[in-house]
Amino acid sequence: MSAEEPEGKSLRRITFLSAVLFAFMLINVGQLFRWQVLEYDYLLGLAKAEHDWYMEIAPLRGTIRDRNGHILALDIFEFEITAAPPMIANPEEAADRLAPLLSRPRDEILALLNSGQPHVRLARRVPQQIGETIESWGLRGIGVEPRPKRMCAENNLAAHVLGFVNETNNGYYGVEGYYNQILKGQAGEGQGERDPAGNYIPIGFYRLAPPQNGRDLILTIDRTIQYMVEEELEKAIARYGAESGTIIVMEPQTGSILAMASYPSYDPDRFADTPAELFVNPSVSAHYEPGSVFKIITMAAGLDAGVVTPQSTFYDSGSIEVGGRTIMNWDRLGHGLVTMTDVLAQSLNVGAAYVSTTMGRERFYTYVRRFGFGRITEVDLASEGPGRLRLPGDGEWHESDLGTNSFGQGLAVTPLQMISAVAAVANDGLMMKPHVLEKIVDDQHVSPIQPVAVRRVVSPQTAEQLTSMLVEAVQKETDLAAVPGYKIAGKTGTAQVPIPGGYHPSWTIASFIGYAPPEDPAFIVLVNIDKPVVEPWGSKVAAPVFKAVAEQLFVLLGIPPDEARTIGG
Amino acid sequence: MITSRSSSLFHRLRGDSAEGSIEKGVGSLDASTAIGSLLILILVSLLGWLYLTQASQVTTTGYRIYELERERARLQRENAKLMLEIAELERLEDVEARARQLGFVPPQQVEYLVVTDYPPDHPLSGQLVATFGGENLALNSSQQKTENEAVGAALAVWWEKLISQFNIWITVQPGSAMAEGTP
Repeated sequence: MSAEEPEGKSLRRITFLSAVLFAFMLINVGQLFRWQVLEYDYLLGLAKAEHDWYMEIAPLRGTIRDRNGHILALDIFEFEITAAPPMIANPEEAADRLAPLLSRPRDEILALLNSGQPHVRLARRVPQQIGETIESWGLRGIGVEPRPKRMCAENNLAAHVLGFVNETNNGYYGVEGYYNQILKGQAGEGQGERDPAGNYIPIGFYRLAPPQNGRDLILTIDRTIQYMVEEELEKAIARYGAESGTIIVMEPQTGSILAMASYPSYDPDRFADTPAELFVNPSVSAHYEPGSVFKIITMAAGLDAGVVTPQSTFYDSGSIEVGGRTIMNWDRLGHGLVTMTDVLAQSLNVGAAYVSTTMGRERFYTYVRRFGFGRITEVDLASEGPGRLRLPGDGEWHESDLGTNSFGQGLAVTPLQMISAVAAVANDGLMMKPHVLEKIVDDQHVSPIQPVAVRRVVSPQTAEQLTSMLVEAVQKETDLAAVPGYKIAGKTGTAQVPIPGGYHPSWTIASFIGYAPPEDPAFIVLVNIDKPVVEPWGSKVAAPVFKAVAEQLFVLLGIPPDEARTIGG
Repeated sequence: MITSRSSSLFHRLRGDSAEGSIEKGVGSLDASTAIGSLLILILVSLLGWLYLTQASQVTTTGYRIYELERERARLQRENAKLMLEIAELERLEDVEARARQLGFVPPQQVEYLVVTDYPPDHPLSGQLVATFGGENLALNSSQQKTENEAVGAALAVWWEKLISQFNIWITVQPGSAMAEGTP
């Protein structure tokens, strides 16, 4: 009995101990199961956050240059300054050094450094020089992160052509918007492991996928011409007390846009402080009634259809009735027996309506459509509009439109549509697609953009005849557009501004379209001055602006006077 | 029985009867073990050395890659800064202001001099592609080639003339004509 008692006691103790150990084991297994299975992802995430690092590396956006290689827009670097307060040994000293460079009160910085938070941002958009200075100190716990930022090298030059780029590296409007995918590139990424002090562990896991920078764009824009055009536009707006205006300079033979300016403009680098309506490029988006410059289209159609010739005459009684509406000349006078050249030179509405009505609606609107009105030109700029053209068969079209449309009323066009259409006449009747991109450049190669012909709108003979008529029109009636020593083919326009219920009694859009040299045009210029106060007429307001621009274009493009070219062959 | 077993064990322990064979056996075992151990030691050392060398190289290379990446990023930033500097120096507003400061003014009157026999400019600066309803109407390459050749020939003639004119200027030294004409 006495021998069994210790044995039984031992057995109980062993059993108890086993039970305790088993219980411990169960607890351990349970805990391990919780860590390894139930909370695996969460704990792995915590561990990874502790020793892994990951960063997205922003690509550099492609540089935009003008046709001569001058930089128009590029990416620069700004820095973001951050801090990991627990890692900063001496917050006071750090605050002392950072405050003057970050232009932020020392106490504010010190409060952030003593906040005990794992991560705080001290400053954004710090200039490169300051960022690099702070980086060179190598302060433990202070992070210096470079971030690309878009900048327009020439301030607001060609702002509407360029567009702007937001903080997420996305472009809007203009070239930045249209070619966003080519320009923005692809972000890269870096991954690796770090020690408790946050230092990189070279022997550990490390992976780097470098960013793919965006490709560079060379534009057809010539910044010198653009600069000159913007200056002339601004001067004209001030001189005539106008509200706004647009000038486009284009090469008729290629459709290359050399300059495209609108006023008012904006600074793309400060897009956040700019009213959104200024982002829209009026050259491609704004609709307006073109007025008498549209007579070029009407006359081209009439000549090409064989309805009239430059010498054809008609009797201008001062009015004509079309679709129940009486159309009168701008001076409300009858001009008697006039030729088609006189119709252009004296800008006779009645003569234009005579041509369109003689052609008939079918043929007239076929030509109008062929010249690209009522549809986009497909220029490589964001937010292009199609204009507004009512056609026979549409519910809105009225018989009188056949008359009013002939002199540019009752239809709306964009400035780019208008200049592209007249450029087709300048280019022997062949319409070119307007474009602003000349080349795409990356590290490997250069991809030139070829000019594209859209369609033939009139025959070369028609184009030649019409050009002669337009030269005569400038010589006879628009001496303010004439440049001594050079022949100019051109046409003025004074369009009324439609308002609900009719037209505004005094507002006009004064315009001029001209090209030179007529036999082999090197440029075509459209000038629109909106709502001038001093003078309403295109011949008084827009023609002198054209002259000022053309005079400088002859020098900048190296075009000698007609006489010198004739002698030189 | 027990005594006899103990005696036998004692003898064996003492090695009285089989001492020589045991020593022999122990000697051969020691040699192979030693060689084997040595080989293992060498192998382990070699592996350790290889590992350490490789680890060291990986560390060095890792640091180098890391440093080069940093250098690349720094150079990229430096490049961007220089491009900005170029752009700022070339800015038209500033160039114009500087030119005016230096006394330059826009040209008031441009005179053109007509140079006869000057080769004509090539009419085509690039290939024109015309599309009509999807049909590609690129300029005929042979036609373009012929035009290129014609311009090339004109240039060659002009160049020859220029060179011969230079030759005349070079060979006829200043004063030599006077010397020849002097009696």
